[in-house]
Amino acid sequence: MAATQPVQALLERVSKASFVETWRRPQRRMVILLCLPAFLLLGVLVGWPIVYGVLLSLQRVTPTAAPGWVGFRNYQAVLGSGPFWQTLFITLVFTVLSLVIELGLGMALALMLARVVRGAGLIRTLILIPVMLTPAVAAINFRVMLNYDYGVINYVLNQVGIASQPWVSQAGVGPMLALILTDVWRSTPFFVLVLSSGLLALPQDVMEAADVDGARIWRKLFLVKIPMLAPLLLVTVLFRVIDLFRTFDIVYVLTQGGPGTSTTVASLRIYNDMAVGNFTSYAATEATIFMVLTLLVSIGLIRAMKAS
Amino acid sequence: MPRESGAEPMSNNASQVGAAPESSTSESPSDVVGARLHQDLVSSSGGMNRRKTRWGLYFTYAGLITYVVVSLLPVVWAVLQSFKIPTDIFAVPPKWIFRPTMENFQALFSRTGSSFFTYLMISVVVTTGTVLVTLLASLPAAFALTFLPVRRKFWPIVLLLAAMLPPIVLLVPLLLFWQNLRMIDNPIALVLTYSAVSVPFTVWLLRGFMLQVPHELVDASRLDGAGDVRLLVSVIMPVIRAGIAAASVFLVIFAWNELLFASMLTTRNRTATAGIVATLITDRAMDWGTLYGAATLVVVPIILMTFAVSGHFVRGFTMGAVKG
Repeated sequence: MAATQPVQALLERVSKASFVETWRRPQRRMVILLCLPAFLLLGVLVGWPIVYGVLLSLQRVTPTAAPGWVGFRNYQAVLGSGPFWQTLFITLVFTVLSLVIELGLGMALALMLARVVRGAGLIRTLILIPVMLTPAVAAINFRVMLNYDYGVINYVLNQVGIASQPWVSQAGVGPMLALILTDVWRSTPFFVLVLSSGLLALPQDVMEAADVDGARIWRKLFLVKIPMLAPLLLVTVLFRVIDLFRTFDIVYVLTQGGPGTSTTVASLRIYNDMAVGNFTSYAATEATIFMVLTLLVSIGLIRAMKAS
Repeated sequence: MPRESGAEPMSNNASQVGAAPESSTSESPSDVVGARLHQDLVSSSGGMNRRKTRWGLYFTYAGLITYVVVSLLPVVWAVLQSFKIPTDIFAVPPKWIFRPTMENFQALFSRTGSSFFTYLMISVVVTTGTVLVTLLASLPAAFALTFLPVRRKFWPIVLLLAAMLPPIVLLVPLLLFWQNLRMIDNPIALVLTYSAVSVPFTVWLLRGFMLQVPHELVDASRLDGAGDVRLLVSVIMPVIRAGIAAASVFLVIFAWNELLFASMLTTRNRTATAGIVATLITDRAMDWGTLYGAATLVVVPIILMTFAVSGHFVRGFTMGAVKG
């Protein structure tokens, strides 16, 4: 891993406690042997590409001339460009809004699901389906359903007296709303299932004690249930944030980043710069910056997890 | 609906008992359904007003069922679309009832030049390969990280950070890497890429399950003289088969659904997902009927799988999360 300074500091601190564990020789050989396949895969196809990506970001790669070192000029170009910051802002807006809606809706449904006994298994399975479905294919369907002229969604809106909305075809809040809608549809179940299984695992005596105390539903929720769920909640949020950050499929299919660049999230921008524009070193630079940002967010969330 | 028939005798019962519907001992549910409902009520809340709780339970079911129906409507709609003739697909008002046709599916498999069947086969191969390679690499690694002396605080964090790496970061270098090896369009490149990207999460997940294995079991087999490899293969793996199943579910879903690498590392031998999306993006005179047919064929296996394995999915995640 291309560990940045703060990563290393964190890792050092975390691992200090376990240095006392001794490394016995023959067992150490066994460890290496057992981990070898995983290390090979990770080293060649994750570790090296990261290093190679950083190296590319320090070069100027053109199809015609030999690559040459340019220092941090690519970084200057990327960080000095408005569109890159706009991309990050769009990614952030998409992540935060989707996360808040999914968390709220997911928690509400999880509380409901944890209350039912009969039919819970079937409901669980049916709720899970959208999570498993191919996001790109689901997004194709949403694109048709959101069509201005023929879409089912506008048809339903018309039936209840609301005018057709342009959704993905016109700049404005529509395209972002469409993306959030699709992701909420797809990912809320994840929260529902994980949180409801967490709720079911809460120690029964604590819940009964809260009942005896006559705690009201809301007080019980915010003062007992949510604090006890905090570790699970944080892990789930962590995974969702990371997943939302890297969103590519549904944007690529639903809006292709448009209209204009109004919904171009980070992954899509890097993809376009590489696949369409062929700006190899520029894309590599953006990817490196994006990786560092993601790592910082992950580390922040992991620290919050460890603290709780 | 059985729920209501169960509720009926109970409310009668309560009113016969008279002025004290809250008294918890006097109720005797008259049939099995009633007994189940009774159980639902008791388990849902301790000492609250029964009547209030019962309505609460109805609202709970109503809320959940509404959500399930709304969230599955797009899926049902997509599957219905694949059985429509082109003019019905974009009909306004939308057609829920129509004469179904198999044309779209026939076109997918018979039309000359249609590569969808190849795409599907590649998807199957890539998915199977990814599950096998990832498990083969992850099981021993997870075993070593759980049962052998390693830095137990250090490696899990590294794994977690590696699992969080956005795949887009690898896109540029990996494209150049596979281009140099002339492996673009080779399913092996996809299998190895997918496996490498999935190893950290898979190890993390399997480790969660391995930490649950009772120490006595491990100690006993060590005393019996079992070496590390035998311990892993004949003791640990059978015990954590639920974990292996959970990991396989994640891997199947990931490999089957993946779009980014699939569309970048292939040009002709695409996976089904990448093939469909490429058609959508590039083909101006696209046939929406066959597109929906293809979409249905990609999605239906996953729906069937969901019914078979839904338990594993949640257990896998929470197990890893709690023990991570």
